[in-house]
Amino acid sequence: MAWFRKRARADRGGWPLRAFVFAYLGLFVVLPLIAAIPPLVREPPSQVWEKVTAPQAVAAMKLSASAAAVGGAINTIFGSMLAWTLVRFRFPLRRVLDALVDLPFALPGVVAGIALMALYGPASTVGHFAGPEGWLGLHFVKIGLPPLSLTGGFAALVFANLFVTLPFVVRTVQPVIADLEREAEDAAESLGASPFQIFRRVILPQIAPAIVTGFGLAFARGVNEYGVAVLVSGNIPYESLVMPVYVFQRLEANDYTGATAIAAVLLLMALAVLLLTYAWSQWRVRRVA
Amino acid sequence: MSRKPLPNSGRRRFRLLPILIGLFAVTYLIVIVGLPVGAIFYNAFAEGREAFMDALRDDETQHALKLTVMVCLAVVPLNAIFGLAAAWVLARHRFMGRSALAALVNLPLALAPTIAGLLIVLVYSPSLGLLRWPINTANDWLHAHPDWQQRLHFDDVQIVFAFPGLFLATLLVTVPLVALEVLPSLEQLDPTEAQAARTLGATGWQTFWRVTLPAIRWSVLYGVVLCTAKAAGEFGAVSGVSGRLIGETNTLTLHIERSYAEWENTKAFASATLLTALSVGTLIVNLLLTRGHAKRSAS
Repeated sequence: MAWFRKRARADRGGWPLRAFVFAYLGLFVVLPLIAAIPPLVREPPSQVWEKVTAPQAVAAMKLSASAAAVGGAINTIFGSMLAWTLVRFRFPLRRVLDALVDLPFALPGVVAGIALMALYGPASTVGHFAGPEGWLGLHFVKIGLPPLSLTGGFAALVFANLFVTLPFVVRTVQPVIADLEREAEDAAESLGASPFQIFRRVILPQIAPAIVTGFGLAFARGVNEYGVAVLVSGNIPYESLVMPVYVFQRLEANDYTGATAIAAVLLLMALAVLLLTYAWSQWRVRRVA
Repeated sequence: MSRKPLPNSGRRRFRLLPILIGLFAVTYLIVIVGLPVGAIFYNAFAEGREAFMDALRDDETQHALKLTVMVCLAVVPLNAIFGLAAAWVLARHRFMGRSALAALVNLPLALAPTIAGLLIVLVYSPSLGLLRWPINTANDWLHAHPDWQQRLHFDDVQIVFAFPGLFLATLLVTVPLVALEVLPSLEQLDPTEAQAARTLGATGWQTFWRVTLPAIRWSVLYGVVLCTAKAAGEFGAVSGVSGRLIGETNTLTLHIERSYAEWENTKAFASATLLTALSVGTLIVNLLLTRGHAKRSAS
């Protein structure tokens, strides 16, 4: 049998293929990651810590995390509605709209950024309408609110995240909704449950793991967004300067230790939320099963 | 006791709430995604067709386009070959460290693009990079031997602020794309066909080219198209390593940002239509792909 087993193994490509895969990853992914170590150890830890806790860095971290969380939460709700609509309804152009959901994933950040500026920026019709001199803005000021600006400031960051993270939520929730058994909803309805009860007791428990995973993916994507954020937010320190932009500015200023330290925090932030949401949904799935 | 008609699964009662949710969701999608795409084309042609064509014929635009095409030509084939190999190894091999490999393949997706640019600078910068010693040694040697410089048509090794840096940064960001598209279809593939080919005497390569690759060709195609779109549209990673020398290291995305910042709207949006067309192309491939899947599972 030994010859047979050897041939079966050769079918699968054997060790040269595996060596190629590891060498490629080593050269193009692991080597750059290793290169992040020297800048962090070259200077004493207290100085590195100082750069991480610099007021502007902390403000950028808070802004990034809160914008990604708010944007992710809004998209989790609206994205799930959209996923449900795309699964349950049959209407003209449904396939086109379904394909449109993926566009933010494929469309370059700069392109999306200038498009959002042209459409909702201060010079646009919508921007003027909502801005300090427009109808909506004036009414906002009258009741004591700041005029709404979809570009520039925190609202712009959230808005950028809404665009960028939509496909991640929809594509995570959509297959789970497609697999739902409608008989369970029908049974609940025939037993007299209200639409809200059906949603709360029948649908939500089944799609909750997917929703949480979708939020995790959206957060990780949103916190890393550069292209749309840099164009739309105005990049004002303490107000709208997010972490990826701050990393870039530190790099431009030749502060490699600061850039690397903030980059490490950003990567850990994205990975932590990804792992936590993934672990929670796995635990949830296992507990239900 | 109220008598409600039993809902039957064929025809459902007309209900207002779901319709409202549906209308709202579709409006949301159009406001967030649909209108911005329309705005790109609208602004590109705002000054007329002639201005649009002039913006595309502009020297800077032409150079940026060529540079982006060259980066794609260098990055995509490499990542396609790697993607096939990595998906194959992940689907078929069982070995220690397999989950570490899976995590490593996925990692670039969690990396902010500006971090990718920073990392390339940290490896290849001649002043402080991890590999500064070999780079500087090679350059010293080349500068000491002008005859070799001429013979090799090569003045010095430049990576950061030059084409290799753009290539490496784009590659790092797009490493997982083909692999992650191919992996699911390779895992679903029924191995009996390949086994049959083997028992009929085909070699491993023949089996791969004639049996396995045709079966997964659509996901490979989609992965390649997606990788091309992402490589062409890469912005954060290349802005860190490019230095933005106009006519030298200004890629299409950097050109768009610069034109927009300099109030040359038509130039910015005309260049943006090229990248938008590419990403709409990936959507069309995806649409055809899922339709193909639906047909296959229906038959």
